[in-house]
Amino acid sequence: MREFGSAYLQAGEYVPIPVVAGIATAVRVATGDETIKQAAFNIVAGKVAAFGGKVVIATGAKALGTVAAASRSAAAGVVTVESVEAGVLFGQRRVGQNFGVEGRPDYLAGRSITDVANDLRSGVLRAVQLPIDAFRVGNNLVSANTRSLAALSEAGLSPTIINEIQPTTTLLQRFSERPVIANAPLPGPRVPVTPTQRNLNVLRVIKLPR
Amino acid sequence: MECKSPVLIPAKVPWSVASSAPHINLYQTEEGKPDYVTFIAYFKIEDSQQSPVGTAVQFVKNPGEFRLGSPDDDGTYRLVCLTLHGGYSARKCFAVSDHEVITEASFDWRAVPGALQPGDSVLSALSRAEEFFIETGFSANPGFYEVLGSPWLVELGLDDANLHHYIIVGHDEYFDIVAQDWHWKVGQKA
Repeated sequence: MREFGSAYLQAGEYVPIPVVAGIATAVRVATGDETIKQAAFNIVAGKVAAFGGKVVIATGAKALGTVAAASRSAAAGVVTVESVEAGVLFGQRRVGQNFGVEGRPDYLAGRSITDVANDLRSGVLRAVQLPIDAFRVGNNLVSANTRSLAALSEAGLSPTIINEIQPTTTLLQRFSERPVIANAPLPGPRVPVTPTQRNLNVLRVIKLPR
Repeated sequence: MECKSPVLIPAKVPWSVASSAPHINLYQTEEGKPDYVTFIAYFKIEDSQQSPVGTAVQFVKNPGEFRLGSPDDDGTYRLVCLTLHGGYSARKCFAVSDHEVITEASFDWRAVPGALQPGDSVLSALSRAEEFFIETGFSANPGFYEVLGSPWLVELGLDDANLHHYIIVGHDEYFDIVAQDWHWKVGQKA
């Protein structure tokens, strides 16, 4: 493993980008900056091809920054970065009102989902600043960081960066129980907001945008 | 030299520590030794799987202090009291990341039927867990394990003693406990 900026990337490995809407490509994250640039180029090129130019990720240096941000937030051994228009489902019975503090950027640390959603609506924050870690369940992608997906959804936005991660037993265990509310299956398009993990009174239900 | 990971042995119980709201509390003796632990457990066998339609919400209240319940009572979520015999030491640790509570790669999970195994997909692991539950009545991943080959026991110089290392895995935290033995009893609905 080596350091690239502040992102830790596996050296010398082919890293598969998840297939979304028919995109199938790969990024070689290897030894030189040129290769990294090529990887970013491939991401952008793939999106252009797939969505007829309706690309969310910008080109060049911004895409490189996206690679770095996504790699920072993803789990070890991680894989990749992607901008998709396909939905990512919620994978947790509930979500707390506030983001945690540890390891979060200032624009998220300790803030409420509602405040972050308001900033997304007003343009103070952009969807690219809330990358989503997701893992595969059958043909679906399921979010591992529920609060970020909830904030995006409350603002009527979909993720623009998805880091595909390997599932863990902890994430798997989230599917072992019944939903807090009846119409929020796991994985699913809705998640109830509760005050704390010890108080499951449902404050509201956040839905994925259509 | 190959370094063996400590092995997690799941407790043979019909419940699992509730994954999203376990409400774990550790109680100690006057001497500061671990005495018992209470938490909300999920009893899959009580889960009717009947989802009412509509948008009605389900209110779940704080369960409060443990009260002994009858095994004949039903309830998908109930408080469980884990009594520790010969409790020696305990520590509370916070989840290592958003994606895992304990460092999963540090343990050998092969004895846990509901855990992800190398080569598993999420769906295949869920299917195996379901089959295990149907066949045995035990939880495939109870969130309560004994750690065989525990480095913590070695660190404490207790690896030869008649003591065991147990782990209770919650949502944002987990508890390491050293004790001789344990038993559980069921309490009120949560």
